[in-house]
Parts: sequence; C-alpha cells; structure tokens
Amino acid sequence: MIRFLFCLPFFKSGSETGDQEMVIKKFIRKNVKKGTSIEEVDKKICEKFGDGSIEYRELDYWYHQFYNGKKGLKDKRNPCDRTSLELLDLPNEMIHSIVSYLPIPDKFNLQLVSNRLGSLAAMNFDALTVNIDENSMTFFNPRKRSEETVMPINLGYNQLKMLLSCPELKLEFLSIEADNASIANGRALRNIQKLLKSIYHQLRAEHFCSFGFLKDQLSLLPYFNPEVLRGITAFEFDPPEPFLETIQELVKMEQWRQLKVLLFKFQYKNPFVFYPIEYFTQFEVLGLGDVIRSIDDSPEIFAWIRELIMTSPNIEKIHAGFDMSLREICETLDPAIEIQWDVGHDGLAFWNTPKSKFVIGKNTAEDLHGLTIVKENGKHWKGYRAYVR
Amino acid sequence: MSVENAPVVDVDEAAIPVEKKMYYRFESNDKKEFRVSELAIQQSETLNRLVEAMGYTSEDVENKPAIAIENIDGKTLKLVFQWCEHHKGEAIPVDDGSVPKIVEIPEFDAKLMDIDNGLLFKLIWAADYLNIVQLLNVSCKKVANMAQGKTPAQLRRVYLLPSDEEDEAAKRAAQEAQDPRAREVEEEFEERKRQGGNSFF
Repeated sequence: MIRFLFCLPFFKSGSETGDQEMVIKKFIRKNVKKGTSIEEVDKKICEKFGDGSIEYRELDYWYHQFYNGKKGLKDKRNPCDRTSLELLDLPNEMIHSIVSYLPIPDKFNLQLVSNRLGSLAAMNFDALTVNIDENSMTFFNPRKRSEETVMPINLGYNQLKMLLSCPELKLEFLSIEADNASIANGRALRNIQKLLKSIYHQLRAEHFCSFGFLKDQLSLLPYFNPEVLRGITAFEFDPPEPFLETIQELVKMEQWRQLKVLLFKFQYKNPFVFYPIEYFTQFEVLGLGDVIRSIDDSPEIFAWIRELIMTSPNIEKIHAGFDMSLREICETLDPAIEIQWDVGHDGLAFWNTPKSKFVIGKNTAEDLHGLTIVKENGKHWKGYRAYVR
Repeated sequence: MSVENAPVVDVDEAAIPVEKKMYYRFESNDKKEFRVSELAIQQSETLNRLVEAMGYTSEDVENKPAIAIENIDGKTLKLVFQWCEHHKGEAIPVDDGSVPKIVEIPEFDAKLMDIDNGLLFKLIWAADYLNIVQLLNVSCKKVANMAQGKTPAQLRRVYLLPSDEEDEAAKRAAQEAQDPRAREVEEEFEERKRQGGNSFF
C-alpha cells in the first residue's frame, strides 16, 4: 500500500535556516556545475555545514533540479507536492526486484539496515554456494558464477549466520564446500555445525550439497527442514568410509527418508553397489558422478543400475558418466534394450521394464560422457529431443 | 486543458507505420493531458488492454474525454510516455524467471532517469501499475546501481530507511494516533504475558 509521508521541513535547523538554505542550494548548484557527484556533494555539505544540515531528500531534489538545467533557487513546489514516494513505500515485489540486481555483499549489507530489507534480501538468494578456505570464505550464486564475493573467514561466518538465520530464507540450492574435503572431520565442518546449531529454525533448502563424506550428512541434515529438503549431493574422496553404517544411521532420519534426489560422486568401485538396493528405492533421481570407462572397471554398477530400474517403484531418472559407446552400455545393462540408433557415445534406446518404459540418451548436449536413463512421460521427462545431441 | 494544447510527447513520425498513426489522449491525476501514439501504448500491457477494450476510432479519440489515469501525476506520466515513445515498436521482454536476468540501461533511459529519488520511485510504481516490463526492469536496476557499494548508514540516509527500532516506534505512534486505547491494551497484554497468562482473553 502506498504510504505518502507528511511534508517534512526541508532543512533541519531553526529560524536562521532561510539564509543557510540559500547558501546550501548555491553550494549544490556550484558543485553540480563542476560535475561533482551527489555522493561527493553530500560529503562536502556535511563537512562544511555539519551533519544533518540538509535532509538527503532535499539534497537529491535540488541536485537533480540543477543537474537537469534548472538554475533558480526559489522553491516552486507547493506543500502538497512535497509528499514523496520513498523506497519503503514500494510494495515488497518491487523492492524484491530492485534487490535482485544487487551483488551479494550489498545484499548482506541490507540485513544490517532493517529486518524488512534483510528479509527481502534473504528471499533473493535462491541458490548459494559457500566455499570455505583456510582463511577466507567465498560466496557465489552458482547460477551467476561471475558474481563471486570473497571475505575473511570470520566475517564470512558472521554473514552466513545472519543470512541463514533469516526465517524467510528459502533456497533451491545450498552448497557448503571446503577445499580437499576438509569439511569432513575438519574445522570447517565443526564450525558449520556450530553455526547451524545456533539458528533457531531449520533451514529451508530444497537441495543441499556438501563436499564431504556422506557421513557428514549425519551431523548436518538435522538442521534442515525435512518438509523442504528434497535432494542432497555428497562428494566422496579418497579415504573409504563405513558406508553401510552411515546409511543405516541416515535412514533413521526424517530428513533422509524424505529425500527424492541423491547425487553422489565417489569412486564407482565404492562398495555401495554391494549393499541392499532397498536403501536406494526411495529416490526418484540418482546421479553417479564418476566416469565409468569400461565394463571391467565396475561390472557391479551395471547390475546395480539394472536391479534398481527393474525393482524400484520410485525411480524416474538415473544419470551417470560413461566413457563407453551407447551400444556397449545398453548391451551390458540389459540385452533386451532396443537401440533405435547409435553413433559412438550418442544414440537413443528404449528399455521396457515390467512396469514402465525408460528412454536412454544423452544427459546434456555439453556433457560428452553423461548418459540419462529416464522414465518416459514421468516427472522428469522432457521429451525425446532433450536426450539426443 | 483543451485537446489542442495537450503536449505531444517526443513523437518520431517517421518511425510510426501508417496504419498505427492514431494518438490516444490520457489525463494524469493533476489534469495534465498527453497524446500518445498507439504504437507507444503497446509497451504498456495495462493501457494496451484498456484502449483495445474501449475500441476508440480516431474521431472518438478527439471527441471523447481523455482517458484518466488517476493514480499517476503529470510529471511521472510525462516520463512514462517519453519512455514509451522512445521504445515504441520494441519487443517486450518476457520474464520467464530465468536467472540471471541481465538488464542493460540504454543511454536514453539513463538520461531520463537522472531524476531525484522521489520521482524515480514514482516512475517505478507507475511502470508496475501500467505493466511496462522493460521500464520496470531498467528503473529497478537504476535504484540497485545507486545502492551498490553503500554502507548500511549511507543506505539509511539515501533511502530514508528507518532502523527496526525507529520503524517500531513509528508504528506505535501511528497506532496510538488512530486509537488512543491501543497503547493501554498493548501494555495490559504485555503485563499479562509477564504474569504467565497464555491468552489475553
């Protein structure tokens, strides 16, 4: 709702203001003529006439009057014209739109201005990646990679806490990364746990990516709202982990049981393929990050995918990396797969299971090794064109 | 204001196709009248729908009263129509929610928006009200550009932003002005809360 403000006195001081008003207006006019920016004029006025000698709104008005060619010092506004629209008079959608153009540090700044602006700024974060280094923290929106902000580590934790504390925050994607998986068993992980523990509400993020071991999720997932969280990404690195024990603990958590998307990048020889398929039947989307270069590399993974596709009632899509021809992959997965056409890595094939029909094709045109197995006309189906290059 | 005296806003006749050469008359809430080409009006979804629904002929446009735009003053409307005339015929961007939204401010727009904040906010409001997508984009970007790099204190000064405490105090004052008993009720409520009561009633 538009709220017009009542007329405010132009200049703050008392009866001698008439003269001072004129002097300040002349000062503004002189500086506009010299090409001085409004910020600089504001600073100069504060230095010369003292803080608060002129309302910014008045400075702004007169600056632009002179800037646009007016020379007179007489105020021709009638008192009713002095009602003016301010930033906070705009509806939230418009302020939201303005904030969307701000880079990350300025959005953080808004949280220090007021709760309303802080909330609007928080609502502007739809996706966020936080990269924790030894001494610094980098923030960026993975969808706008150019907008990257690096800050000292302590300031970074403060800003992150302030942002995550905002109850209006709802992220489609949150990634907390630490170099060389140091988030696992490291200081970064402990700090993040401490930070999440200090927040009074559960985080609303649809997808959480933690560049650490799957077992890190045991200590991080409790801080996420299970009604919102739909997917996680876990990146496994060299040291093997007690995968079975981890997953047995994870399935006890509401957050894990609600998950529909699991993307993991770990060595495909990892024993996860030897564990019961039941642990994975809750997922609609599974992503396997590492590239499989030959059948001999991991014959188990082909059997694992086949079992999942044939038995899971929920599976809609699997994408995986294969540096093998489409024909070789399909023939290994299931000789019953009908290959419609194929040229090297490219091609299109159909996999009829007792319950559904799956289409096998490219993950994306850019991803040379990416292969997608997707249920035809399912939730994640994008039409045939999406799976051919 | 008579039809003859109504200002014509920066019209580039050569750029207007022959079949579109119709000018509508609009009147701001302070009774300033503007003549705007049909092609320029297309930049505003709201006005475009309005004139389509009215189905005016060239004679109607001259003989009937100007179309009143009651929420926008003349100064703001002049800027809006200047923008529409300059950008007439241009494709209207479709906001498909894609990220990032990249908006460049053309030179003409930058010059047009070299105005004080009060007027700039009125322009944003008008662009939203009249549903002029690209004008809304560039004007919001302009405000964002002005806010960039400013400290919280500077932002408060430039945009007259109250702190949370000031905002609360203003709300309380407004409430009290409206209902002098509001403060009493609030104090009573706070007192009951302190005493451990769960409900006011």
